[in-house]
Amino acid sequence: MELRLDGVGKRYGEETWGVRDVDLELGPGIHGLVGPNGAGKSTLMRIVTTVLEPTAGDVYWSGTNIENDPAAVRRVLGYLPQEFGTYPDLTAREFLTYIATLRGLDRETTAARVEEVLALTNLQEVADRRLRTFSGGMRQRVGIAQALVNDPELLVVDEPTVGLDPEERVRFRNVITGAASDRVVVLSTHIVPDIEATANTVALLSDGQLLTHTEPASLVEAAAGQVYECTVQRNQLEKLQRNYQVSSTVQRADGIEVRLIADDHPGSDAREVTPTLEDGYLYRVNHTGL
Amino acid sequence: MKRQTAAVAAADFRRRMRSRRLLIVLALVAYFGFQFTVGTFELLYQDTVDGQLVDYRGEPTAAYVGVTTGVTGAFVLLFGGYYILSGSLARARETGVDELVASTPISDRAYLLGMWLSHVGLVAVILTTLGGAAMINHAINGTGTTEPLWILGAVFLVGFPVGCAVAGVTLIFQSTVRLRATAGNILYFLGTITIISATLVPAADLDPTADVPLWLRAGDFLGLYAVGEMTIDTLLTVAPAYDGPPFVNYGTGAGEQIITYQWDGGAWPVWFLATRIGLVLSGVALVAVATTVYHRFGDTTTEENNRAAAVIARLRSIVPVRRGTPTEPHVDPATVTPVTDRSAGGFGRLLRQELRLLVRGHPWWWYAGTVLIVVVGLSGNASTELIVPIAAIWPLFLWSAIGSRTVRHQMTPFIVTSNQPYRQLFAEWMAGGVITLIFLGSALLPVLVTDPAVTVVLAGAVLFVPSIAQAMGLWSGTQRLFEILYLVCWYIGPLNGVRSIDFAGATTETVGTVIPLGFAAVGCTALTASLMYRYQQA
Repeated sequence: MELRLDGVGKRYGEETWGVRDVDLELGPGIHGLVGPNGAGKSTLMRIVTTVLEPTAGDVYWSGTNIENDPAAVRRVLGYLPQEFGTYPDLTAREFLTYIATLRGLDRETTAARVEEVLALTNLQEVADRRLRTFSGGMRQRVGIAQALVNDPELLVVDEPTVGLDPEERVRFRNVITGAASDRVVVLSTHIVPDIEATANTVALLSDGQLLTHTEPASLVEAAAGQVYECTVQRNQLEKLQRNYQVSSTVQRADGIEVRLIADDHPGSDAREVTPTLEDGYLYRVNHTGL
Repeated sequence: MKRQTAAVAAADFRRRMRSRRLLIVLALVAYFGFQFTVGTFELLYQDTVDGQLVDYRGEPTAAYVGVTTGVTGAFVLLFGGYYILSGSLARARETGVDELVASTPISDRAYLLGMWLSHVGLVAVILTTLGGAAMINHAINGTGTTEPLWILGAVFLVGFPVGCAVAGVTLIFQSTVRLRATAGNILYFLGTITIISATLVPAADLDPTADVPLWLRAGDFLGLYAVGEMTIDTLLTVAPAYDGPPFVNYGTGAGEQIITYQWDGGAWPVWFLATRIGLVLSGVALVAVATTVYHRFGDTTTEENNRAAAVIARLRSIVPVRRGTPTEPHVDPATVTPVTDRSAGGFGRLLRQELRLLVRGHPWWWYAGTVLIVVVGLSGNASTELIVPIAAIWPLFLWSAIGSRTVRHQMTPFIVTSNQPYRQLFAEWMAGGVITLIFLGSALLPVLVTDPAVTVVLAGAVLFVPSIAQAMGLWSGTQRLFEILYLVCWYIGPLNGVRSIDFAGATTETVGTVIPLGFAAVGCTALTASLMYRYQQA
């Protein structure tokens, strides 16, 4: 069970590449896909799920080239696109049954799996309500449920926790962590704490190219000694923002506590702190070239 | 307000100009322009002399090409403009732009006026395309000097005011919850046909030189009376015995004899100029009417649905509802039911689910009408000429959803990445076939019992309707293309009894002919087109 990308690229127009020269080998576990907006994450996911054909390179699922045999991956795929729709006149249970049928599940397995994923996503109480009455967060949970309904060996989820409240985000993390031992999960998100909490490896994309594919700890370690915190007054903040990568600001009674990433010590008031994955991500994206 | 209106108009107009669909629309408009000026169809005076049909047409001078293209432009905009223009508010709703607009200080009037101006801009683009095509047509096929001013002037004088009025009607329909979808499409089509018929039929028996009553001239949207008034004297110089109606109409020139006359232009009647000004003003007035029905803070269907959901929830709290297998509140992701078979066919289940998607979510009166049609049809108490046209129009909502539904509800990624992209296509198509069978089968069953050959007619319809609905829905991504083409076919065929277009068997004259087989062949071709589309998707 392995997903392998071999020099994958997708070109739009003459010179614009959505992704380019991406090599990845992903085994069982959760693999975070992170990168700035427009980095090519969704394009890569669409290629992996056979929605898009690559312009260059090949994608293999367990040794089978999916361009030649897309059914090889479709049989075992669970997919949650970043933007997806549902049929508003179906109930959540009917919609999941429909997707399970499309995914080739038999009647008995469909019935059991639908109930289980409804429970996993905390939708049992609203399972018989039409989807048009669902809030954004509930709809997102239906999206997660449909991606899980066929017990996929390859689960590809694009921004799955957008619109979820903190409790549901934690529930989602627990669900995919619990299910990841015997499947390949590709998780694309801007919410780095989700990656931090779940991912075994992180693939960092920027401007369509793969910057690094490593363990989260390695990404964090790379930023060691480069992350600082200091408390400044409002009039000093702008100067810091101009000179350094400011990753967060928190209002305090005595000023603004600033967390920043710097190659050099930013001043006597600043104290070095332990980096997080978010710091490592920002450091890698902004402080090193390809 | 002026700047806000201009900003709305400019943004919507730019979006439309950058749409690839516009290219198709403009290509079609240019094609119609060719067909209606120097192609198969023409504007003709028609008369019967000694039992023979005689057609009278003008030589293709610049003036004549100008007026015929102008009438064609008005015709295209009157019948097709609504369907071309009506996407703007819908697109704003689909993309969520309407919510952004609702949260800004812009007034409903300024917003809708901006949309109307964008529509009018598109009308101008369409007419410019049509006029440009007409000039090229004239330069190649016409007689005399090509006069751009005459041709473009006539195109804009006749067509533009109609476009302004249609743009206003479109905004009213698109602002009204119950008229913005298929019901509105049907109502607009039937309303337009009715108005045009009501203003032309009363003059059909008038003497060619008689004055057309003022109330009929006031309804001369297409300019047929105006063209008649300008050209009739020229016609009478070559055909003094002409005794037909005082207006031209579209025809194929199929008469036994064709007589031509040369018209080199003339002054437009003052009354016609007045109707043009009236149409432009009515377009603006209709925008004001649209503001009274436009709901910028969400539509009432959601509220109604929420109310309906609340009622159902209350009922469920009283009446025990059968649910699926009870589940534990917490499920361990690692111990859920494993999936061992990923290739179970399930076509029957898929078909049932596609049928559910088709028939669910319609207003109660639609279901009531369905029951009535089926009962009346099966009872045999109504003639086929009466019941079949009704049975052939009532499920239009359902058919037109086929094909485009996956795009409309952003379901394409799920379908394409599933195990069964082709089975879903067939299940959707077959669900449409079942609907066709239920409606037309009920209506035709009494005659089918006495004449088994009617089965071929029914089979032709079952193959034809869902197949073209699906193909057009898939390839266009919208319901409107199928709806407008189907409405035209339905109006000419089943409703007016033109045998060669009667796909539904309303006249029963197609029984035992090759016509049903022709519709079946078209259906098979359309189904192949759908398969090709799915092939390139998957």
